Amino acid sequence: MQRPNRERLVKMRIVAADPSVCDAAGVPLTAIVEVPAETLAPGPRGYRVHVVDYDASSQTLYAPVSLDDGPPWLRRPTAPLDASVITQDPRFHARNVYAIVMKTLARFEAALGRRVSWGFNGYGSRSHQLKVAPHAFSDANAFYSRRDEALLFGYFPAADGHVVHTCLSHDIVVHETSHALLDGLRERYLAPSHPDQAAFHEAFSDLIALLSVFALPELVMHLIDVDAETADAPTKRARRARRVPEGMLDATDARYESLRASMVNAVGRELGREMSAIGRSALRHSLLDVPKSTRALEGRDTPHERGEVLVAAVMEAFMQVWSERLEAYFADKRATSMSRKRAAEEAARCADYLLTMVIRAIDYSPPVHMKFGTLLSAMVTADAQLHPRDPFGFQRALVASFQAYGIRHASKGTAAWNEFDAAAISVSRVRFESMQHDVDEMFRFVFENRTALRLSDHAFMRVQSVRPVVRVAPEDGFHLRETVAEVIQQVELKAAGLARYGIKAPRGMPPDTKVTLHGGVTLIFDEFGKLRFAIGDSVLSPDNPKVQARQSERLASLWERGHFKAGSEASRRFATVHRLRSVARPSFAKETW
Amino acid sequence: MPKLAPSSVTLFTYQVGFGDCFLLRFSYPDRDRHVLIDFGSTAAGLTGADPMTRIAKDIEQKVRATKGGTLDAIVVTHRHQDHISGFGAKKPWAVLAGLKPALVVQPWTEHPRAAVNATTGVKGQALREGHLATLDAMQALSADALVELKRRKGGLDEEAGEARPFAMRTTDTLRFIGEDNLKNASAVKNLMSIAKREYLSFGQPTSLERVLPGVKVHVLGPPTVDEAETITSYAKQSQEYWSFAAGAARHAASGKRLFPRAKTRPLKDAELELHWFMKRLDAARGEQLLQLVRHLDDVMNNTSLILLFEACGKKLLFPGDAQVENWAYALSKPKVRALLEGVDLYKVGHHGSLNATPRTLWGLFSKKKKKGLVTVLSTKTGKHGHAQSGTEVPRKTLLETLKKESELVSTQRFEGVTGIKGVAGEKKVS
Repeated sequence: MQRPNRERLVKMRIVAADPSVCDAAGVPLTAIVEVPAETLAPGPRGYRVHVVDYDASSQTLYAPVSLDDGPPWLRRPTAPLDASVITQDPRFHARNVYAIVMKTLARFEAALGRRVSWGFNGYGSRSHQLKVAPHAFSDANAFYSRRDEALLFGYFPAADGHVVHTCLSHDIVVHETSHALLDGLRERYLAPSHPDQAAFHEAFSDLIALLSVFALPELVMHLIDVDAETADAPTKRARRARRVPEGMLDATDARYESLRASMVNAVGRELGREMSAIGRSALRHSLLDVPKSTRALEGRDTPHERGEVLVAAVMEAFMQVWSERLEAYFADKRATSMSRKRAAEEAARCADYLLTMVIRAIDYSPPVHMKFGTLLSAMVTADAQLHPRDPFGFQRALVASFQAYGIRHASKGTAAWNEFDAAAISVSRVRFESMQHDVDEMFRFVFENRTALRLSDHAFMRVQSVRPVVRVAPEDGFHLRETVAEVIQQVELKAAGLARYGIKAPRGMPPDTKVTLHGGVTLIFDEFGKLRFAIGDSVLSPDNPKVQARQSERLASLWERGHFKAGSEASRRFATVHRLRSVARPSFAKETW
Repeated sequence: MPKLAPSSVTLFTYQVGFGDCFLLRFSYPDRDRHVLIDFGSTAAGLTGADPMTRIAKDIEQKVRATKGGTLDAIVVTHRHQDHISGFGAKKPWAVLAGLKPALVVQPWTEHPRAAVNATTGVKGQALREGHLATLDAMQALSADALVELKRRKGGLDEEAGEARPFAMRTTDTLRFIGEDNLKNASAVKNLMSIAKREYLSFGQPTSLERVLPGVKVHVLGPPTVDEAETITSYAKQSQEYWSFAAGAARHAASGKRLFPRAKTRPLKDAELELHWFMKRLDAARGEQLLQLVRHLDDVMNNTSLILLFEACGKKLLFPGDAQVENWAYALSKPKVRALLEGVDLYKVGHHGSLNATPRTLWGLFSKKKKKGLVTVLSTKTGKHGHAQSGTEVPRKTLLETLKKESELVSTQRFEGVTGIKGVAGEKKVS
């Protein structure tokens, strides 16, 4: 049956966390989410997502699922659902991944104010549809593969014999989808650079996953309930002494310290237990294992270890803002407690707001060489364009929490990027109307203004993307129209030639080693065609020795990490990254031949 | 009376295809004493009937060559087939057992479980036992990977009417590494039949010094899991992970459908739009299996014993297949680094792979070519890894350095087994 065309969104039921997180009745906790409506083919196969339930281990092809017929739970989100369906019916799994991937895509598109492509679009395939295999193989791994244009979710038997499905873990599905989307937004973030960049893909995907989970009020509500039941004895005694009414949160519990302690307790008990064994529970690791210290990054060398610090810093700001918002409920001193449901809704609102900030930050990030401090500057700047008054206080809270974890912002002066001084920019020979979508027109602008933009005049240069953007501030309905362009620069040199350009070759690097240096800027124009921001570095800059110093530092680090050895490029890169995260193997790249 | 000490040491290197087999002869005034280090092969490149028996007989001949000669110890560096297969084969073992070896030396990871349990209460015990369980899980995983491979290769999918084998290269490499990691129960049993056995870890004294008077033997690896910081920090998580990985492989090997009651479609009836992706997924599965067995192969290599013999004023280093992770602990000790500086003979680790001769270690060797550093490489090209990915064994860059900076003896230059002459290389230090 054809869906009515006017319908923009449909509701679908998904697993809120993973099947081990159950409600009081022992049924896995689910949530109803809205995803873009479309005329689906069996699979489900939609315009951006194609679920193919082929299991390569047993070589079984499960029949494509149609959401238009079958049992009521498949057709209607509110129909009753048995626990056994959630864990044992592949049709539920197929719909679950479809819904979560589409919801994540829609979330990115809403935050960025435009359509967003998958990472593989543009790699010879130009395919629009991401293939998703919910039961790809019997293996404790799940990953995004650019080459296969797919998300592949494995399954494995747990110690007690029940099968763990990675496709039922909300955060894992969002994590893999985020890899595919970030790869589409910034393809160079997979390229070798500073250790932060290697960690960034993992950390960003973890952040999107965690915030998506926290944006479900059902889940936060559940966590607060779990803490009420399982808090340690002194906490429980104190709550009894304060006579906190059943189902309520009092002023003490709503304070930052208590709130954080509650979440640490509840998360430790409830979230990510199934995935923790394979090293895939970002929240557990960042909340429970990362000490809040300005030296948190020291000694953390592998991508996932570094990434956990970034996740911890952002989640810290989340806790801070959430508690501040709850404080407002107690401004009237006569108020002694509030409903847990309201507290959970506040958390979900905060998570959703922060999710938008993290996604938008990508537009305000350089096309290459991403560092953790860069994300901070980008988040703060992007948010300030729409919300100069920082209504949730996230801009302030993020600056403070990043500082607490020893991550410095990447801007001069305040954390936000400095606006570009457009006085020297010439626009007389270009037409802004076509600059908004035409890479050649944009390139003309860039070439014309290469001196003002401080771009190297001797490097290969191209405009990688031009994206017109419309952003809406829901509070006041104010629209922000921008154009975002990525300009890439590249030079190839032999190690022996580096010194001539002020760059130090790493110790021990053979002089004939081929070295490719990258640079580039992201340009952001306002609706009148005025250049507001130019974010990033030229590949080389004779006037600015710092640019060369940063290139030297990156090269040294890449050399240390073994990048210049043959075979360091993995074809299914995330498969490897995730596997290493699972086996937690340290790296000894510089000891190898 | 002066203390008993050897007057010379001779190393016999056997060409066993891909594998290790070395016989060390310590010549004493009273008799020649011998130590056999590993006795395994993946058979590749060997010719003639029953090559391992013929090698065993040659060992016997060498041991008995001088009056009263004895086989005093067998060193089994680790449990990979290419190092132990001969111990598990009936005829070759009969020959070796006939020489009445007095001692078997193995890494701590080969300790029979019961004896390990007897020491419960030792710090780090749980971690160690977990590690042993992990090694078992890994061997089971290898066996399961081979079952899946076989089903892919041989088994026709009846419904599809076509086989869906992995790519040839994936298949070959999977089989090679998978088979090398299979459990060899008969080798374990045979070695257990020698009364005196010891299971060593870094820094422990060894009875090798008792059977070889006047020779110092340092055990430089493997560290136990609780000793090496780099290992301890991840051992626990990694143990949990491997138990799941093994469980998953077991399920895959069974070929059972995950949802027996769900509606399926014969592969031959798959919709057109699915063909491309299903092929990709098949390939991805092969690569994932390969990645798993590669990882476990590395872990197994890192259980290798690393022994340094000091005799006749010379230092001979035998690290088995130890890779960087195993070496890291020893190399972190200043005393060990000082000890390693004067190495005269180095058995190149793990057939010359990219990460078994840590650059730090190579940097320590002060003798190099001018002062007579001898390196011995037991390897076979084209069996392991690929040049394209920089993983070929032996690694080209390492090989070039060995040739340039040391006197390199490679088994590649000897012929296969037929007509034992020319099988073994001989190097005498006095």
